[in-house]
Amino acid sequence: MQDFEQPPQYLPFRSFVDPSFFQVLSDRKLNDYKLDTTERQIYATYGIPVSTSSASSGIITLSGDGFDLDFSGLADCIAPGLLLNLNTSEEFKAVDKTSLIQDQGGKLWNAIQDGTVSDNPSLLASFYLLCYSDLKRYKFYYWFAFPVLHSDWAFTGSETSTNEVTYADSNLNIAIEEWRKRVRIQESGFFLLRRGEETWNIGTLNQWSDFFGRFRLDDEITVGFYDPSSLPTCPGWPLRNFLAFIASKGHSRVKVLCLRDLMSTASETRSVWMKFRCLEPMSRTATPKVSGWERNVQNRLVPKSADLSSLLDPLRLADQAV
Amino acid sequence: MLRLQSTLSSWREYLSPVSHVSTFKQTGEITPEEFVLAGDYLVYKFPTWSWSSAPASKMRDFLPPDKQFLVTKHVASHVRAQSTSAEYNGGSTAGDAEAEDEDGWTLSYGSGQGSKGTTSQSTTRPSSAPADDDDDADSIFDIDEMEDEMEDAGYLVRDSAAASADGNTTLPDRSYNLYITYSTSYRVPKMYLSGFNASGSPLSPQEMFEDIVSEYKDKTVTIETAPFLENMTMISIHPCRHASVMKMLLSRAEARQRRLRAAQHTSGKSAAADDLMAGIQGLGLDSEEWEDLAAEQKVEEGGADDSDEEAVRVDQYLVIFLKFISSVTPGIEHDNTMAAL
Repeated sequence: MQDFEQPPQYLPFRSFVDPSFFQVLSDRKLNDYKLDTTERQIYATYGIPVSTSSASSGIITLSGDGFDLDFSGLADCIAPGLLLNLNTSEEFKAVDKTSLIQDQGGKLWNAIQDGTVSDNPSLLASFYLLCYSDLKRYKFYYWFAFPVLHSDWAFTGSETSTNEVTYADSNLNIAIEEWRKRVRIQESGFFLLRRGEETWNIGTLNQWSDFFGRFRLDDEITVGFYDPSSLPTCPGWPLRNFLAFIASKGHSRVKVLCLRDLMSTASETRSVWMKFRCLEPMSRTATPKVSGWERNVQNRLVPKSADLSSLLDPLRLADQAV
Repeated sequence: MLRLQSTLSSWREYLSPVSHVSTFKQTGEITPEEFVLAGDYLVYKFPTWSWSSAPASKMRDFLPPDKQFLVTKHVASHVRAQSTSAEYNGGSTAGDAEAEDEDGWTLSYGSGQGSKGTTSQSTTRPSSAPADDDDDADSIFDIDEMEDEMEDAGYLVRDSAAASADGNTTLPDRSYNLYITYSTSYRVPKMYLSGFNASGSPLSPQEMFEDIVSEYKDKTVTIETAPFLENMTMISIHPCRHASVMKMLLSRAEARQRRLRAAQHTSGKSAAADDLMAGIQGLGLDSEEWEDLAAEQKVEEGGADDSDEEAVRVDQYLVIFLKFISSVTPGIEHDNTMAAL
């Protein structure tokens, strides 16, 4: 266990959009939405990276299934999102991005306070997708936001569980996997942990008072989350809102299991324990600072674009088929 | 390893009574049952690959519902095939002709004729130039930066000098999702690729073609709607020549494996899987090894088939298939993820 304190940094989500998403979006826009620009509920997925290479770290995926996601048998975690598909590039440009993300953050903050998040923890990983589709040219302009509530924590150290592995620790992954089978997928990304005699107890967020009701606010509590990051010292984006959730409960010391093992049978764990100390309790009344528009590879805040003309345009497809 | 071996032997048991006659060594083709066996082995050995189910409308009844196709996602690609092929061309010699099969298909690099013209053509093609008729939409990108947000200290910036100092945070230019399905018409695995740029947006087929060595790009890469997913268009490597290539690769892997086994003979038995990996290594891009093997093949023909312990097993087929694919798509680093395991 290292002994130091520093402001934590989180590995942001990096959005990957399958061509199938744009294909379904085109269909829906033509046949269903038409000019209607109501926000639509969609779902993206994220999970533990299959390899430790940075190419697979921090990824969140949106595909054509995301309009009508079948949760059954899904191995990944879900991230609920809102799609705002606009009709013109002017509208896209005119959207007030700053107030939009503030609004989304405010909604999340309310949902934390009124208990909605305890029933649907996946909201902690929610996103917003601003989109303009030029269907004549099969071009799509889009911008993801992964709103995060800022809370004031210090990172106080990390450890891998290789030192002093106990019976309970070695069975932790199995216990989590079994827990996951019992809960709804909306609940599966974030969990509470309490050490029992022989094994770990695992709970959903709405079991908070069962788990931590008898703890003092400055006692160290233990939680865990499915971590899309594989960087040794850097947890993934979803932890940020989870820490805000914990701060909202008034607790100031937390040990977090960043779950990074794909299989309960993994012979060598990649998971990391990280400790955090809350520096300043959160105000119940004011919405915390919010950020989260996705940046491009150059770290600039700009939208992304995709040109699917050669994948989607029926005429060009016919041309290419030999 | 014990567990692996027992699993393998139970697979072998399962395989023997299947009425479909296994012809993979003679023809390079496999049956759907063998495809499943080989997929199980691949997933077991390399957990970056996994089996996937298909939507109900795309389900193929000769494969188990939960094993419709194999997939691995977000495989890094740092360099384009065009930039690597020069290097491979440089490394090859006239002796390579020996290593070709009768159709000249097996060598992906350096087989000379026909490749150079197309290479230069594709390297000059701009990779993703925006169309010029795009003025209105381009204005989307003129967005005033939000100063407040830029100050977010909790946002880990990848690629920054500090971050790359502790390694592992740099991002590749591109990444690929790879899919392997079974082709009934050719009785071989078929590879589909779906590529993304560094921003996570889909690549156009033309951009993806840059990651295929020119011989294949010109002959066998097509744009197709995936038969195992809804609404997915991607590029595929047409399997018409897979069987003959696989047949040759299998016999080489086998010869290499025999040679290693002979060398190890005195030191007693070693795990079959290790042998395979060593054998596969020799298969890779090392053409000198391949030439050596021609001689050994004769030895092998004499005493073949009496010892199934030494033979390349059909469940190892996809591991060898991927070696072949990595020679077609040298810039897509699915081999690295394997080496890491």
